[in-house]
Order: sequence, then structure tokens, then C-alpha cells
Amino acid sequence: MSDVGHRIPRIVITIAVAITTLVFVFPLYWMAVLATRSTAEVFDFPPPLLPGTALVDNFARLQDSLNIFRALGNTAYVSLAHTLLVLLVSSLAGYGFSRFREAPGHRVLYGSVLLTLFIPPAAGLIPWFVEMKEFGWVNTYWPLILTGAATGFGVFWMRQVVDASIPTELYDAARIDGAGDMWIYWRVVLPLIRPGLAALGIWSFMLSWNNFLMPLIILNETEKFTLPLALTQLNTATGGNDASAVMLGTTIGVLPIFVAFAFATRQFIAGLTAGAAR
Amino acid sequence: MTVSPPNMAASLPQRRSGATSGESGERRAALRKARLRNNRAFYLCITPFFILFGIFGAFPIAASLVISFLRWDGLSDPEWVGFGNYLILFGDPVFRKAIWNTVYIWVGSTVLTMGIAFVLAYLINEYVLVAKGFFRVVFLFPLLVAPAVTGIIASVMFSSHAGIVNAVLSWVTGERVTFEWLDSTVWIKPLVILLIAWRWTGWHLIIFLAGLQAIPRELYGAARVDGASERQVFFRITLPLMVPFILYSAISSTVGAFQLFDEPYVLTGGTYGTANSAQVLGTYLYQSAFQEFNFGLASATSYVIFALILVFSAINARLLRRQA
Amino acid sequence: MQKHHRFSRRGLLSATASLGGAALFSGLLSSCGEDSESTGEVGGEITVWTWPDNDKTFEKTVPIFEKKHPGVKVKVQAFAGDQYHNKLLATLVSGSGPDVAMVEITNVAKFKGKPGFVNLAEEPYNATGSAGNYASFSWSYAADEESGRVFVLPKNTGPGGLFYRRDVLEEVGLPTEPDEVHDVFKTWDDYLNEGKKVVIPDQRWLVDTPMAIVNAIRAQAGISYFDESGTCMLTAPEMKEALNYAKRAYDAGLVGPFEQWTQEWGAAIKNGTVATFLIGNWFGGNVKSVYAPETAGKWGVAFAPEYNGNEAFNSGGDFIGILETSKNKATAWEFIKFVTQDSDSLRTMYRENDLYPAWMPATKESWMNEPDDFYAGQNVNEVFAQVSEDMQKPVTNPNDPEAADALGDAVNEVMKDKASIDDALAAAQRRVENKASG
Repeated sequence: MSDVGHRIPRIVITIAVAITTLVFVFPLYWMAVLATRSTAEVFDFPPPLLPGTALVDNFARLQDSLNIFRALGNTAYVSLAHTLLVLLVSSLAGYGFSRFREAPGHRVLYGSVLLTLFIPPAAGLIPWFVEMKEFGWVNTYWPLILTGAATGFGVFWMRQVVDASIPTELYDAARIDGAGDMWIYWRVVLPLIRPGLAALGIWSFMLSWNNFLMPLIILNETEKFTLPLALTQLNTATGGNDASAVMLGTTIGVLPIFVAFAFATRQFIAGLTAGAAR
Repeated sequence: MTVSPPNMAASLPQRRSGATSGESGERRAALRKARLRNNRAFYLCITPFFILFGIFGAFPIAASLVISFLRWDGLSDPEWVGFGNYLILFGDPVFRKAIWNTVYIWVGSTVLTMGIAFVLAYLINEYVLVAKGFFRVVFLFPLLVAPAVTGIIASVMFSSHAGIVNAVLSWVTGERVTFEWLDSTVWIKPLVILLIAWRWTGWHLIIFLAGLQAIPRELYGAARVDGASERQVFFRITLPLMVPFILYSAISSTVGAFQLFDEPYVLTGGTYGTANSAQVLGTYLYQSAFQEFNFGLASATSYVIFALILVFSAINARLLRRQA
Repeated sequence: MQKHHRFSRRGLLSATASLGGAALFSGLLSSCGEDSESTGEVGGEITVWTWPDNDKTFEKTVPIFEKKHPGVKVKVQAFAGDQYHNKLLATLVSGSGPDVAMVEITNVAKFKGKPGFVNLAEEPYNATGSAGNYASFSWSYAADEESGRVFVLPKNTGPGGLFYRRDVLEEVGLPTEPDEVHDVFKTWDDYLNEGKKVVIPDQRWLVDTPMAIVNAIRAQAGISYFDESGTCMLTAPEMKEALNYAKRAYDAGLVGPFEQWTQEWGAAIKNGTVATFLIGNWFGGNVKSVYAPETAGKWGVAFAPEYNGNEAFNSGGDFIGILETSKNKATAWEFIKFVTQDSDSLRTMYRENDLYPAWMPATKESWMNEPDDFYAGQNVNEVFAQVSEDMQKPVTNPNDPEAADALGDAVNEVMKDKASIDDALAAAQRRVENKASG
């Protein structure tokens, strides 16, 4: 495909794809622009396309109606705890399913894990809520951390990763050295599947960070609100009248996830493709 | 309420060669013993998953089935109504509307998202000269933004007087356009589809790119040597080999569409649109559960959603297999 | 309670036993009632739930309360309006809520027939004793006629009138004084006929939404969504007539293309592109402080056009009650009495936010009956006090929200010519009856 004759169309197509990316990125760019504009400028016609100078004012107004750093802290706490739990549960089960293929019940158990992929979490919403109430967990972070920690998808993914990264011979060698199975998991498997863990980790972190419905149902005090909830609350509280403060809030809210993504981009994409390519 | 992600695509569990048949009985017995010992670790490893899933997944879902036969608001005494909730559901024009809206959004968003993603993946893989990695990453950006936040951004972009969309239209047509996108019964669903496409294209793109890269280059070479045209190569080689990836994309998209909640909720400010025009199954479930506190009806709704996901996933699979 | 246990044994056991959740579930089904603490001393902290901007109003009244009751601390928590009542219901179900919570009038039906709020008719509250002092139509939202249960106290009402722009009416040669305006717009037919004068096609309208006309006529006709026997009233002849007036106004171009509470609606209030608003008295407070402070002096309030000789309709109103789960009911009770009866509290709410007291003795006070420059020197309470007295008692039903939603859809269809009035209302009625069945 490297013929010189293809050169011209390829340049055109590269440019076309680049323009498409602009369309995809524009809403985010515009969000950041509005965050730096005064409320009056938001309603200017034609609308502003370049950053303005009202960032500090907007931030002051934002702080008036919402403690954004508190919401950031809450979200970070919930997402990190949830992500660590997902990684632990998934990698353990993934290791189990990958290694002990001959164990009685393996097929049925693994089949049931795959089946859970088709169950919409919403299906159990009501009893789940009543359950949380019985545990005394309404208006706490426990439901947000623990629910979804057992994800069939995570187990499936980690099993693929363990399958791919750990040759059977390694288990045999380790066992000859007299290593226990849990020791092998902790000392041999975990270090070797780190890229896979990073990929699943950023994915879980993102889902948890962006979760809206569950905090909406569970959290009762504004001081405990996570970001998506706090931001929609802000949007309604200002009657949709302070777009620039809201946009500043959303900008601050998405920054951490972009930073996390920047650190793990390679693993994230590698994780997706490594699994899918085989 | 998001689709579960990547990579279950192609890879079916691969068998590794276990104990082979030619070994002595003694060795086999020893192996069996070892296997038993190993099994203890197996059950230990998978127990946390099954306990957590039991408490937070299986139990609620099973109990939901029971509740779907009750009239219950969580406060008063529950009352057994048999299939009453299911009858109410199918007699409710709003529910029928929610199904129609969901199917509309499902088909629209699946076709649009996968279409864009496939074309982009194909172009990036076959034609793009520079910065392939960069393109892959950029299209993933929207996925990082909470759907709730996406909804807020979109409601500002499409607002009638401050929105940039009306501004562009005004500029194009030469007169001031102040169209009410968000209150329109016609446009609210395409807007939801647009949000979904914006959010998920990058994810499907990654899946498709992985699929395209998995196709051995030699296959193309061999086909060209045999004198196949570009188009023939695409339809005879590329597309058939991509079916598992497309299937995975389509099923994820289906599961996601039938659980859709965030975008319509935030985009309409919790009103589900003028005359329920953005009411989907996910919002109907939320409304009956946490606005009307009709827990029985909500549980019945969730079982209907469950059934619909299974049916449409099966239809998806059937259609794609036939095409292949 | 017995029903719970029988049920949990029979129905849920098999489904849950294998998952080890039977004990949990029977527990959760039976945990509704709990011993209410006897009313003790006033003191300590209470939490109050409300929605914006009531939190800002409380910022002004709570210090007065805390001053009157040293040692008491009141914590106010506000949730966005569209989420508030859902959160409140969820919290009743979960049994982990605040001490005091407000309920808005359109959501009363959700809470009235359910456990969760303290019955204020019982000892030691005996709220029924002061029932006569609350606006009677408002009290019938709070009290269940059959059981006598009182779950909240009426806080504010929203007596409705015709807000009009003096400048616009003057410009088109219509009178601008309240009595004369009412004479011109005496009936709904007059309103539609004379109102045409203010219209400039696609630029200025008589009224903001078709629903405003429908709701006013419905209240004036004394039609609730359901009658006492629980029959849905959406297909009542008065309802059809209300839609008919709205449709005529819509087809004649009298109705603006606005949704209430949007940016564009706010702009219309400011610019005078809508000449009249059929709305509750609190609207004035919103215009003064949020939408268009600069329009001071341009407004007037007249009685709404009459249906069968009745001008009274109500739009909006708040209630406040104590949750069963409160650990500090004595203080909570003092607080809701303060909020709904204390004249310092009522005056502050009225002055700051035009919140109209449901407590009738207050309506005679001088601070409610002053000429107001915002209305060019008119004392608007002359209208609203009369409306409060003339309001007919409503019937509330748990399915009111569904009926309101169905009516909204029907009005939308009729306006857009998608269905005839009869068909749209019949479909709405079927929808509500289906949902209410079972």
C-alpha cells in the first residue's frame, strides 16, 4: 500500500481525518472557552470562540455555590477505592479461571461470569436500593465503592490478560520451587499483568468517576456529592443562568480524568488491543 | 449506565495442552491429587467475585422478579398483584413511547456510531500517513467526559439564544435563528443520538482498528497477486474477518442503548422532553422507581428491559452472521 | 405489619434463601414503622430539607428562630428542584432523613397517603386546633379528610391573578388600572377577544403558555384531576372547555412560544413581549429579584378572567412537616410552627420573596397591605386576599402527578393539531386509569 500513486489521496484523507478530530474536540474546547468568559459574553452574538479574561470572576462565583474541591476529593476517594477493589477482585478471579482450567465446575462458573455481561445493572435497582438501606449505607460511599466491584467484564478481561502474559511453564517452574498458589498470584502474576491492570484500572476509574445514577440515588448531603451530581445540581441551582460558572465547573471536573488518561494512554489502548487482537 | 468495554471480541478461551493421554496411571493419579490441591486455590480466587456479585448483582436481580409481582411503594404494605404490573406496563402509552424512542435511539446511534467508527478506522489504518496513534487517542477524549457533563455542555451548545449551533445556522442563513432544539419533539432524539455517537465513536474505533490490524497483511498481498480489485479485497477479505469485531460492537451498543439514562435525563433537565419525546426505557424505569415510587412497576420494567436486551442482541448476532 | 411477615415467608423465601438473603429481606419489609420519640425538650440541632431558593430565604428566618430558642441549631440542606422530591421519597424509604422537610404543592399527593411524615393531628401536636387559621383550600392539601391525618402544615400559598404590563396595555389603548383591566377581561371570551389588541405577530403575545389558561380555568371550575370517589376527571366538560379556550387562543396567535423557567421566558418577562401572565403572586418576587428588576413600576395585578363568575385560582404553594425518623421532634415542631405561624418569619418571607402566608391572620397585617412602587403604587394584596378566600377546595389523589403529565401531553397534542380535544383527553384519561389500576 505504499505505492507513490496512492500518495495524493492519502494526504487528502489524512487532512480529512484531522478535520474530523476537530469536530470531536470542539465541544470540549468550547466548554473551556466559556469557562473563561463572563456570563454576559456567553449570550453574545456571534458567540465567543477564543478564551476570555473572566476566569477568576467565574471561579469566585463557582466557589460561592459549590465547593468544587470538596466534590473533587469525594469523587477521587470513591473512584480510587472502587478501582483498587475492581483490580483485586478481577485479577484474582482472572488468575483463577486462567490457571485452574481443569478444576471441577470451572466451565459452569466461567459461563456464569460471561452471562453476567448481559445483565443490565438497572434490573436490580430497587432491591439493591432497599438492600443498601438495610445495611445502613444510604448517604455513605460504601454502595458506590462496592457495587460493580464484581464485574464479569473485569474477570473476563483479566483472564484474557493472564492467559496471554503467563506461560503455563511458569506455573510449573514456580511450583517446582515450592511456591504456593497465592504467592504465585501476588509475586509472579500481578507484576506480569501490570499493563492489563493499568488498562482495566483506568477504565474502572473512568466509569466510577463519571457515575451519575448511583450517587443520585444514594447521596443525600451536598457535602458528600460527587462531581457529576454536584455539577448538575449547580446547573439547576443557577437556573441554567450561569453557563460560564457551570462550564468552569465541568472543565475542572474533567481535568483529573484527562490527566489519569494521559499517564496510562499507552496501557489503556494496548490493553484494549492486546485483548482484541488475538 | 454504560456499556461494558473492550476486547472480549475475538478471543475465545484458548485451550492449552493439559495432561496428555500417554502417561502412566501412577503419574495420572499424582496429577489428580495435585489438581485437587490446586482447586482449593481456584475456589479461593473466585470467591470474592461471587460473593460480591451475589450481594450486589444476583440477589437484587432475583428479588426484583418477585417485586415485579407486587404493588409496593417501599413504605406501605406490599400487595400481591400477579401480572398486574406487566399489564399496566403494556397498557401505558408512555411505556410504548419509551420502547419506540429506545429502538429509534438504539438503531440510530448504533448505525451512526459504528458507521463513523468503521470508516475512520479503515481510513486511519489504510490511508493515514502520520500521527495514527494521535488520532486513536483524540477520538477517545469524549469518552472520558461524564455523560451527565456531556449533557450539560450539549444543552448550552443547543440552547436557543446562547447556543453556538443556532449561531452557526444564523450565520449560514443570514437571519437570526433561535430554534428551540431541546424542547422540540422532533429533534430531541437525534440530539441524544448525536451525544451517544460523540461519546462512543472512539471506543468502537479502537475495537475496529484492533480488528483491522489483526488481519494478516499477506492476505491482502496474495489477493492482489490474484488480481483482486480494492473493492473485492474489502468485501471478500476485510469485511468477513471483521464480523466478530462488528458483532461485539453491535452487542455492546445494544446493551448500552437499552440502559440509556444519563443523556436524555440531563439533556431535558429531568423532564424527558416535551410530551415524553425523550422518554426511554432507562428513564421510564427511573421515573417509576424513584419519582413515582412504584417499585413493582419499576421492577417489571427492568425485567422487560432485560428481555429486550437478550432478544435484540440475538437479532443482532443473527443478522450479522447471515451477512458474513 | 403482619401482612409483611406473611408475605415475606410465602413469597420471597424461596427466591432468596439460596442467596442467604431471607433474613435481610424480611427485615427490610417490616422496618417501616418505628417508635416515635415522645416530644421532649426544645434544643439541639435539626436538619431541614428544601430546594433553592428557599435555602436563601431560610438564611434570613433561621437566625430569628435561633434567637428565640437559644441553644437550637438549624441546618438547612437544599437539593435541586427537579431532584428534591425524589430524594425526599427515597429518604423516607431508607429511613435516614432529615428532621423537617418541605413539600411543594404539586408533589403533595405523593406523600399524603404514605407513612413517613409525623401525623400532626395527634398528641402532642394537635394541629387540627389551628386548622381554621390556615387558608382552607390549603389545609385540605395537608389534611386527609377520611382519616383526619395531618402530615404537613401549609407554609405558603400561591393565590393567582392576572399580572399585566401597564406599558403594553397603555400602548394599545387598553385601560391600565386593575379594576378597569378586570372589566375589559371580565370573562375568558373577553380575554381572548380584547387580548388580540396586544398581539404583534411573532413578536408580542397575550399570554406565555396554553397551560396557563387551562390550569386557571380548571381551578376556577373547581375541577381536580380526580373527584372524591377517585374517578379521573380529565374528560369532564369543564376540562374540555378549558382546552377549547387555550386552543382558540393558540390558533389566534395569542400564545407565546415559551416554556416556563427557560432563559427565553425570562427574556420575555423583561422585554414585555408577553403582555399578561396568569400566575401565582410569588411571580412578582421572581420578577423583582431575578428576571427583570428594571421593570419596576410597569406591572399591575388584576383578577383573572372569570369562569362561571369565579376568578380564583391558585398556582403553587409550599408545605412543611416532620419526619417520623426525626430524633428531635420537639424542636422540629417548634420550627414548623415558627415557619408557618410566626409573624416575624411570615413577614420576612413575604418581604424577601413574596411568599404568601397560608396563615390567614397574617393577611390582615399592615406589612401585607402596603402600596408597592413595583406595581405603580397598587396594593396587590387586595387581589390576592380575595382570591385566597374564594379558592375552592381541591381533591388530592396519589395519581395526580400522572394525570398532570397526561394533561400536559394532551394540551401539547391539541395545540399542535395532532388530536382533537375529545380524543386527546380521552387518551389521557385512559392512560391515567391504566396506570392507576392494578
